[in-house]
Amino acid sequence: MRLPRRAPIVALLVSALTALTLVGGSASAEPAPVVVGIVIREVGRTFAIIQDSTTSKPGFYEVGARVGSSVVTQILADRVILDAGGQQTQLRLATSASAAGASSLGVAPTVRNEAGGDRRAARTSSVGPEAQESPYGRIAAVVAAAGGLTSGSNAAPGGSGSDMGGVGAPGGPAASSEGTQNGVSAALTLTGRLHDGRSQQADEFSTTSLRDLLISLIYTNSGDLHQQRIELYAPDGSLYQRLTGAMAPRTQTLVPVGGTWITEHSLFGGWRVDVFVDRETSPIVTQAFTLTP
Amino acid sequence: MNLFPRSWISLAGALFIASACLGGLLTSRAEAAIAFRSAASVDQNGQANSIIINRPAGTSKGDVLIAIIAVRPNTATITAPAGFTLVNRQDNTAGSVSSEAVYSKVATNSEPATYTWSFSANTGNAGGIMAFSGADNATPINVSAGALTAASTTTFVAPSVTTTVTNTMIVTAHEYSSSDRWTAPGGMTEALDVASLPVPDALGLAVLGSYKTQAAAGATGTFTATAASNADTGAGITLALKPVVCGAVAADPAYFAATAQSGQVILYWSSPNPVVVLRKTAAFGSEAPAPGVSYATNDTIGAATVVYAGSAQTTTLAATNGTTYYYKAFVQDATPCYSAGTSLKATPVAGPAPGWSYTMAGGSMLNGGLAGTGAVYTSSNAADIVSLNTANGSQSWTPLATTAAVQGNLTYLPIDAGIHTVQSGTATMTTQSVLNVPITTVDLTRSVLFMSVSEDNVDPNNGLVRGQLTSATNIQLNRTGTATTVTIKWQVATFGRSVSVQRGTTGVTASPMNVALAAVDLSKTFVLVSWQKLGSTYGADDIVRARLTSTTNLEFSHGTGSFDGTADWQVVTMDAASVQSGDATLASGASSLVVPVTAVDTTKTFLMVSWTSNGDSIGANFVRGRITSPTQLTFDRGVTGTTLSLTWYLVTLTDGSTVQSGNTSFGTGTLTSTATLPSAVGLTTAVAFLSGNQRGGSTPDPGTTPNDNPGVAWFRADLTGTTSLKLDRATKGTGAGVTAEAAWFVVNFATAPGSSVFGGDQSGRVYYADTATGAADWTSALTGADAVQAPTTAQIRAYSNAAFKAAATDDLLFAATRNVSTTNNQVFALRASDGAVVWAFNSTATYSMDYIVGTPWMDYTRNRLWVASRAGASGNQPSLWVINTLDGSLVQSFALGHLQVAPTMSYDETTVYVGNTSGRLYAIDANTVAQKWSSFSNLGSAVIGYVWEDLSTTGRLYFTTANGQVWCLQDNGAGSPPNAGSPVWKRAVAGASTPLLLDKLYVGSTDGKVHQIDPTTGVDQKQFTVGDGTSTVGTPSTEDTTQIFVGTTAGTLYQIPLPLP
Repeated sequence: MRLPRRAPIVALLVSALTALTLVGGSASAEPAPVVVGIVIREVGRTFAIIQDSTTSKPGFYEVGARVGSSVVTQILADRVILDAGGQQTQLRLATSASAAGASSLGVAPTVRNEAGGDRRAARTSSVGPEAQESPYGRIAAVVAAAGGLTSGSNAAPGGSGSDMGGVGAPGGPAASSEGTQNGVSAALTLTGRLHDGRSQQADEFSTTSLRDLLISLIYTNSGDLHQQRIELYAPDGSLYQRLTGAMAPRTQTLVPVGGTWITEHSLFGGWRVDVFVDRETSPIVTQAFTLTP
Repeated sequence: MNLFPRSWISLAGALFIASACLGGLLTSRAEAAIAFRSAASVDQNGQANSIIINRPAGTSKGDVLIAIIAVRPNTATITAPAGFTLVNRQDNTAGSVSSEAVYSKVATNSEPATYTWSFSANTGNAGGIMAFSGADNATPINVSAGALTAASTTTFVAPSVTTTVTNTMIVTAHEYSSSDRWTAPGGMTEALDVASLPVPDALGLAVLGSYKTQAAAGATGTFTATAASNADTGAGITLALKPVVCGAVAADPAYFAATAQSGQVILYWSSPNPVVVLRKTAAFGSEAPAPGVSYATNDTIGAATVVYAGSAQTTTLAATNGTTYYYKAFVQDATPCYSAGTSLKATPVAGPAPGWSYTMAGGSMLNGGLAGTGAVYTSSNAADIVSLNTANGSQSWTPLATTAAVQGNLTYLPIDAGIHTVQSGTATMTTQSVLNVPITTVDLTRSVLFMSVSEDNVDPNNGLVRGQLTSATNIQLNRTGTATTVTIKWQVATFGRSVSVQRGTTGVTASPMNVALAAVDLSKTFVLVSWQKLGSTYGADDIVRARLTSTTNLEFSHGTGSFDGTADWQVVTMDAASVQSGDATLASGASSLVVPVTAVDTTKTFLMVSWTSNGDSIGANFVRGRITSPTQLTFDRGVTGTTLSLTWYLVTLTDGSTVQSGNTSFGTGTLTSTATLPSAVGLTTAVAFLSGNQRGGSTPDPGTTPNDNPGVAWFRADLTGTTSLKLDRATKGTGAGVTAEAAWFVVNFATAPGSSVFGGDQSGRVYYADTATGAADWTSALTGADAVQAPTTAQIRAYSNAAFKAAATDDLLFAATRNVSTTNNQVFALRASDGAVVWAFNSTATYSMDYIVGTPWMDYTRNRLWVASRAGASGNQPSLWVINTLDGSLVQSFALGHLQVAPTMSYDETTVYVGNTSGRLYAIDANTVAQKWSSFSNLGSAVIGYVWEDLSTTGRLYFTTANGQVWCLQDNGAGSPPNAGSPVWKRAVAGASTPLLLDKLYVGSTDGKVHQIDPTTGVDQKQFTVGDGTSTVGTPSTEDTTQIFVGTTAGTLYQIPLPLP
């Protein structure tokens, strides 16, 4: 049974204020802001404390907020992801011991192969110099890569050479929810990735501007679980899509919206995301959101 | 300082460490926890000779029932009901003697309502049953023990037991020889508390059943229960129930689908492990197979019934028309534990509307599909490509699993397989050593030269001729000398993509000599060779053997002699062939050799043989090869004396090609003989040859010098008519001549029409599947493609113009990307035969190209592909692209705003229509590649899908827009665009899909209906409610205009007859 989560804030991370992080893996003309704290809360909004590079004043930033010429697209436990003019960069939470550089987020593909049993195997070729995992259609485990200066192309579901960036879009109420089941907690956040490069956390999105929908999940105490499945329900109550993947403490799933059946068949109205773990028949967490024309 | 109430504060970087530690300390949870379900007991049963206890409420199959029975005296015999096994019994001889016994049973699906224990003697009894779910069915009891309390007391101890597994359920049973109520041991929950007499009473007895879970394995400690009064003697029993331990959660069936027909539902799934399928007539709640429990058909689980349990991949179930059934399939592992389950619903109806429905579990199915030749091919968000019989909705083949959802309509492609044509002719070499024979252009990679030879010559210099296709338009024949006449019958067979040929010319400077090949499938490949050699007399080195010694190696060898020969060779791989091959030795003294083979159909099989010899001679070195039975080859010759090492290829054609074969005996004076073929062949589809390296038969002529003339047993095979095979030799030999035997084959190659469907998925892969079998011939993961959302399209070489045929050797498939990026999208041209990239437009991001979701339009006349894309973050990027399909170069681009539709061309091929998301409809002149109208037609809302042009009225356009309008607009030609304010008509249909234009317009809708609209007036004439009308209806399709197919968000495809009811 999913219970409403009323636990306190999980963590507030406040760094020593001495370190400077790097932006995006390339030398920047302007000094980079410094992430001096991250607050991840189970109730209420998650935000980062970022020290302005010129004024040295710390400020509180949520996903979608503007930091200089960048926009905050994700706040993770140890870093903040920014989009700046098509370049995805990461600010690692500063430490007193070292100036942590921006690091990449690796994506470990965890979707099981559905083609078991007697399903026929195709002659598969990867066309081109190197194969890549698509950011779509799978539940991807988000893992922290060690060091390195990268700028996002395959960091989390981002796609081939993502150029998403720009300023943050104003959002309505954040589309995030939490749930527990058998001692396991799950926090779900919906982020809209817009055609214009911005990201938006909200519970209502206009399909005129929405390109993709990012479903982020963070689990705690999930050590014994094996499997998760995400079910998207259309406004008429029909199961639009089910995605199954291996359990991981943190996963992201990118669902294409623009130009899909959603816009082609006017599937506008109230949608729902249900997340199930293992054999459970009731969702551990569920989140409603609205797609408008 | 704590700035944030109810917060944890830590230093940066500490969270991951803390999380990791926390995770490491987590207690492992049992996969299937044991749970107390309920209990039943009998109070105040007095001194009855038996005790009848009800089945605990809710008892389900697989539950473990623990019964506690207490009786006085201790010597009483207790007879348990069927199925109950004694776990422990304590007989107390102290004080008021009594016995306590505990029994267990695993519940079946048909438990009785009551259970009766009977007693041989009785001065009081009491008892009850506790039911537990989640206990191991094979070994429910992990450990048990009992203890007596001999002293009179009100506190009774059940002993400690030491569990050996985690997550057990500890159950205790206490009994004493008075009647009163109990207080359960600390930490335990009381399940039953009964006495034989009304309480309190110093007589009779009382029983207590309690339980608790224990997470860790180990000693439980003792359990002391306390009776309210009337101290006496008693006993206690402790047992631990063992939980079911499941491994990793089994994966659900790879797919689960149902076809609903009148009176029945056919379920389909795919799983390597057994499956349990449940059925309900309401949506599933928590009904699921219990871990550790095995099920059989007709078992019940709550309100659900098991309708299938086993290892098949389909089942057909009777069903009542009009009833909606819900099915849920679970994969069972070895424990057994079960997958999470995947469900669907199906409603059989008597028809005719709908004729049938097909549901794929796991997501929406909004494409009507691609229908034709008795099958409809479609896909869904469940990531499968499906082929259904259009008549009854049954699956044509097991759905082809894709990595991600396929939302674009599939594309159908006839497969260019089988024979294209056979060119043939006769070439005569008189004084030439090289003769070039021009032929009509062929595709060298798919063409095979067959040649047979007649000559009258005693020296290899002039008589040994090799032949090769040296260009697409030339056969070159070579010999060493320039004297005497050699006549060559040549046939060039050109095939579609089912045949591939490697060829070469090799100077054989060693024996054996190896030639590297591109890897071939040996089961589908054979070798043809012709041979040129120096020499004035025929010897062992004038006969060459060609054989494949591995998938990548061709070996030539010949007998002792000089290394100055040259071989023209062809290695022929036929997809539609099954090739057996082998080596055999014809010993020096043997005139014949029989070789067993795997049975073949002799009407579809031909034989080709080459060999080496260890000596000179004509007759001894000339072998006839025949298929003398379906399982036997015979090689024979007219003279013995040399040892021949043969390599044979037995080629069975499986594509409908036919083979006629025979043997023609030549008398001593015979030069020409004509065989009549039993069945007519096509002169442009058939070839003829001899079995002995295409030209040779056998002869008894020893052929020693100076008469070693192979011409006595070399034949030209010439199809002079559809039923006539003429065989010629150039010499009958000296004197009266010699006889010869000519074993021949006539192969009439089939055109072998086939087809494929292909499409792209949201993982960036393209799938190419054979429509006959559903097998994926290939899958290409396109580098640089995040997703392929747009339907794929193709340029079929056979329908293309000469320019394309010259540039391309195969059909091309086009797949466009839907990337996260707004600038780096590409259009791939893939070779149909293997998915290789022929070209990729924008592979280096030369252009800023946003994603593509509409079907590209193929303009065969101009070899141009029209591609519509979005226009980037700015909205100003080019969005309509015209690409040269010959090389992937850009012809033209237009910045028309965001395009999320398919460009479509008018029937007269002059105009391309495309609408943007702002509702602007554009017309482009397909010839000039410039805008045709002076402006755009302002529709006010985005065009959905694509634009139809009327079949008979030029420029009459039908389409829908995102604001739920179905339009009819008239294009009056160049100049002003149509006035959207005064269309021919406009009709509101909620969430209208792209229309299907037949004699009427058919439109799916978010209102759960298909609408039939008169294309002349725009009147919404009829509406048909699809299914229960609650799901959005997708874009219709048809097979032959007598029906439509529509899908829904619920993942169901319906066949609805036309006219709509």
